[in-house]
Amino acid sequence: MRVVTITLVASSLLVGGFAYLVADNITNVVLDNADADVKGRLLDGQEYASEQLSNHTGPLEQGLKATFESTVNYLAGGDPAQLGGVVVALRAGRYERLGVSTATSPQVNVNGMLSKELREQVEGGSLASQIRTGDLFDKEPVKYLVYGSPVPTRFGQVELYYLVPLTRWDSIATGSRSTVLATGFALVVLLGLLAGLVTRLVVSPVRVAARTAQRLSAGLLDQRMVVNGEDDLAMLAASFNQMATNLQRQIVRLEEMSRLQRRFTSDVSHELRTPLTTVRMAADLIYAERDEFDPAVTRTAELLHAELDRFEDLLTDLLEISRFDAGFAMLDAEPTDLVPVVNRVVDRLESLARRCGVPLRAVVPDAPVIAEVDPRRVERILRNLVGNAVEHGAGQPVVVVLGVDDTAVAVTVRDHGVGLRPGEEKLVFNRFWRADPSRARQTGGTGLGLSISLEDARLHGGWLEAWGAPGEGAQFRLTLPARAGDRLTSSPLRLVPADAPVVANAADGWTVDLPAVGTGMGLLDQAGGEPVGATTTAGPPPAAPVGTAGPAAAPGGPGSASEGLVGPRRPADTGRSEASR
Amino acid sequence: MTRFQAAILAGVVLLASGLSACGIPDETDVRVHGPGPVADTLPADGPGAAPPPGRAASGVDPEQFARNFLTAAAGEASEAYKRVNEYIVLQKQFPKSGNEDVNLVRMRFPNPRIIRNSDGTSTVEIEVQPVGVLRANGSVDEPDDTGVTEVTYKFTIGAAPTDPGATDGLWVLVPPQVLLMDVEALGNYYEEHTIYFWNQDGDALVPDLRYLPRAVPVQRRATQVLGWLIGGPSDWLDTGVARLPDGTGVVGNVPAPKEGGRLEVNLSVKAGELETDADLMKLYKQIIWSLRTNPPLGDELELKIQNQSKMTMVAADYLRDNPIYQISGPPARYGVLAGSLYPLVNSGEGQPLAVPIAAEANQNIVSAGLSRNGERISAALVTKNGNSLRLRVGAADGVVGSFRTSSTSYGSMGRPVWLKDSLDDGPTGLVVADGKLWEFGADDAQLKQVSLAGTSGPVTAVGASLDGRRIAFIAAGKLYVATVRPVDGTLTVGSVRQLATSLNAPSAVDWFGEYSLVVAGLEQEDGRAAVLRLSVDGAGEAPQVTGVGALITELAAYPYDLEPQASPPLLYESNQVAYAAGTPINRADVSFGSGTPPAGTTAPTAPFYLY
Repeated sequence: MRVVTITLVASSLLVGGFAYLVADNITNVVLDNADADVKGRLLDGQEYASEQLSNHTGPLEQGLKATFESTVNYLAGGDPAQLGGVVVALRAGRYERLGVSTATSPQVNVNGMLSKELREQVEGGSLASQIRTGDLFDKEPVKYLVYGSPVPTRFGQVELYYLVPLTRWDSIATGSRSTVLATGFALVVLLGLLAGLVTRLVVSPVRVAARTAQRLSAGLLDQRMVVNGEDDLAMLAASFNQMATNLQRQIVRLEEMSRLQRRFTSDVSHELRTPLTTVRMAADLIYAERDEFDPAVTRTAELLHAELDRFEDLLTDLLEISRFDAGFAMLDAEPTDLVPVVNRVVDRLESLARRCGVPLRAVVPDAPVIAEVDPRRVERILRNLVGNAVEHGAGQPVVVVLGVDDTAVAVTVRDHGVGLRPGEEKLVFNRFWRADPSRARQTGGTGLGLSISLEDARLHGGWLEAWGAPGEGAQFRLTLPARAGDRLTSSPLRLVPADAPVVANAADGWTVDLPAVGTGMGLLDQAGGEPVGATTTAGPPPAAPVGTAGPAAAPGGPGSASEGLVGPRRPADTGRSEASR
Repeated sequence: MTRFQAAILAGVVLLASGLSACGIPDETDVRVHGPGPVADTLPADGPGAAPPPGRAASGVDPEQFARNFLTAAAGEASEAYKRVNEYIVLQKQFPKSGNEDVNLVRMRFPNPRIIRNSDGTSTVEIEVQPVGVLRANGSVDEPDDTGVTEVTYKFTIGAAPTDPGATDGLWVLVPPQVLLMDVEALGNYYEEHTIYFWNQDGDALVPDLRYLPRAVPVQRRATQVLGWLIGGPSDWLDTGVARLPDGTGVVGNVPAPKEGGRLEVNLSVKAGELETDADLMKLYKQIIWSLRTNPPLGDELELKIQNQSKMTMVAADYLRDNPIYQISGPPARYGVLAGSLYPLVNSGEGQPLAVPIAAEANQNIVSAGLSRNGERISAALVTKNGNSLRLRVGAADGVVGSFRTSSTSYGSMGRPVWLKDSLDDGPTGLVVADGKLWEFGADDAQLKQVSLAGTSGPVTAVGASLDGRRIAFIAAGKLYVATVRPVDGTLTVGSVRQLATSLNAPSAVDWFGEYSLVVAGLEQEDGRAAVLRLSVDGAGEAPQVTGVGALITELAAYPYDLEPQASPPLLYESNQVAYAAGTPINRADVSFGSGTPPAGTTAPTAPFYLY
């Protein structure tokens, strides 16, 4: 539309200017013609009048009036009907006071048509003309070319005027103007139509291409453009189709690979369970009889038993993970008081804490904290978090805090162990990730605990985040919506503990990297340059909730989509999702 | 969409307004195209002669005032009444009726009679002879009271009643009943101008005398003459000549040519007229002769019909090559001595021509008339045999030998005259015999009486005009002119017009040119014989010979107004003595040639001109 408008305006200007020039030119030519025509007649008439008046030697002479009249009659051609309205007037401007009246043929009053300026010019001895409009014959106003010439006589000068109607010339000018106008208008319209047509020809394939690309990006990978002809647009369409085909093939291949991998994991887990059960029964038997063996064998039986426990746990986790991956994980949400859940977890791990020499403490509200959650999964998450904290607690106290507000509940697990190095707070959720790969696995962890916890939190539509600093320990925070299906906007508890070291500015070592890698995880609060301590009650950073819808389309397959994964984790999702497959 | 519509609208408005801005505007400023033409001849030749003095210039002398009043009408006809009315008090002025006729009167006595009245006014009494009526077309027609020789008019002059102190000069308080003009004014304020019309047969141009006011500027005179031609002949010629073709008119004025330039006459004619070259030639001839004495006729005359140029001739050459009168060579004078014709000599006139009559015929002659057309001589001789007079006529190239004699004899017979004819069938002779007018031919001596309707009494003298279409005669003591026309071999007299002359008892007449006569008669005052030159309308009178003791019985003249000469070419006979311009012709003036002079001492009689 803009192209058409520009074309119309530009062509209107151009054609208008051109038409003006042409019409003006025609008018000038026509006027010059009329001018020359009348001038010729006037000069002839002047000569004749001069000859006729040569008979008279004084303005008061007898017969001067008759000569005036016969002269104008002769010059006007005699019969007024045949003249086409030409009026001839002979006027003695200098002798009007003496009673020499103006003679005109046909007899009309031309005084109104002879302007004072014209009369002065002609009386002054100049040949002069002027266009005037007047109604001499009481019919309708007509444009006249009034042309005057002085006529020398023996007694002085009189003036001869020709009043020639410009009707014919005017109609020529009008006619040509109309033609030019019509032509110009048609040209402009034609140009507009042409511009519209061309634009449409160019734009509509582009529009089709854009729509196709939109559909393609929306996941409809079988969308293709129609290839017509061999022009540039056809090339574009062909290339686009080629690209779409390649993309589709790649995606299908990746999906297939992913599917095979998950299936493989699931199958392997299942397939291992049966022999494991047998091995387990045998091992249990041996373990039950261990006292009867010599100490070395006894030790072996104990080791076998313990490793089989781990193996089983690992297998269970793997199955759980593969359930998540396959999208079979279902949320069994019910209103649950989280206080007993927290207490139960703390209680259960009390023995392990004691063994590790880690003081474990739970801070819970007095009032029940009711939320619509799946208590089994929440307990598993908390067990994982607290177990990890105890294991990495390095003998320092571990505090579990339960917080609640109107929309969400949160649990933080704080330890004061070695902490996390910068960047590790997202890696901790990777499957089989270790802070120090060389470090042997001492505790019973399978390496999948946090991954499963993350999936559980995601299933709730909640957040699971980590904070850590080297030597300062770490804190994990689980935030869940109070009602299932609600979207989280903030957390009742701060991710960064109050006793964390204050980061003076964004230039500080490990916090600097966070924005650079674009990760969320709540630490964006710090990345925003605010003092960590100041963001106690702050929820996830503004970017956090953004992904509510977005994660659904994440390449986690149908299962991932139903988890309602939320924003803060999304930036980290790419790397981890690869790992989870 | 609004933007699109707005663009379309803007485009259309732009296009339309741009175009409507041009086109022929309703009004423009004055455009000057340079200087106009300026007069290329200086307006130096000024207006015509001064008009007669007006009332204010006439002073308080009643006599002078009365004289001026009687000339007031002179000038352009359309203003005549206006000029006269300027003399008259407002209440008594002549109505402006559109009648432009002026009564011409000849004062019987030089001075008007002034009678002083007791109330300070004066009564002016004038005794006049009505001469004619000056028409607007410049012709003088017969007066209403033809034949009346004396009328007395009275009018009262004095100071205006509203101005008893007479500081404003005199006024005519009671004007005469009619508009009067002294015929003297005709000579002072007019010029005689001859225009020509073709006679009814189309073979001769007949002069028509007009009076052109000197007040008419020279530049307008050609226009004036053309106007006269279009207007037709004078009343008395109307039956004898042809008007211009019906519907002929002048287109505009006849422009005054530049110095020595071409005079262009542009006529409009009715369709169908002037189709043939002969018609055109005749018209051209008529116009160029009518304009002959016109100052604007400088070098060439161009005749245009409906703006189309038809004929252009060098005027002088054309007039020389196309004469309208049969005059070839200088005139010759003859007289009768002892019954024979002899040439008369005169110191101013070269060698006399021999008598073109055979010697055997040249005897017993009382009087004779000869006419010449090239080599051809027509002779008419009045011969006396005892008391009876007979006419002998003959015609031949060179010398006329054979004559025919009329069978009838007459008791009295005047000198025969010849009416020239432009055709080759010879002239017609006229002679007065026994109180009647007779005609005869060059080959027919039998006299046929010419009927003169409208006249009574005995015819005593006749004169033939140059053009051969007019005659002058004296019947019962009154002078007449008339047009004549040969119809079936007989001379028919058209309208007859009596002329007023101051002479009593006119006794002889001849034509003195194309528009004047010479008349012999008795002067009013002393009763002596005198010869006057009289214009053909009787208005102009000029004495030629006065104080002749005895009645003038014969008068012969050679056209004077064609070629004015030092002494008027005038021959007359009084008491048996021939005179030439007042001087008696004696025997010494007779050329006897090689022959023997007759015995005796008698002087020649019956002198005449051969031309």
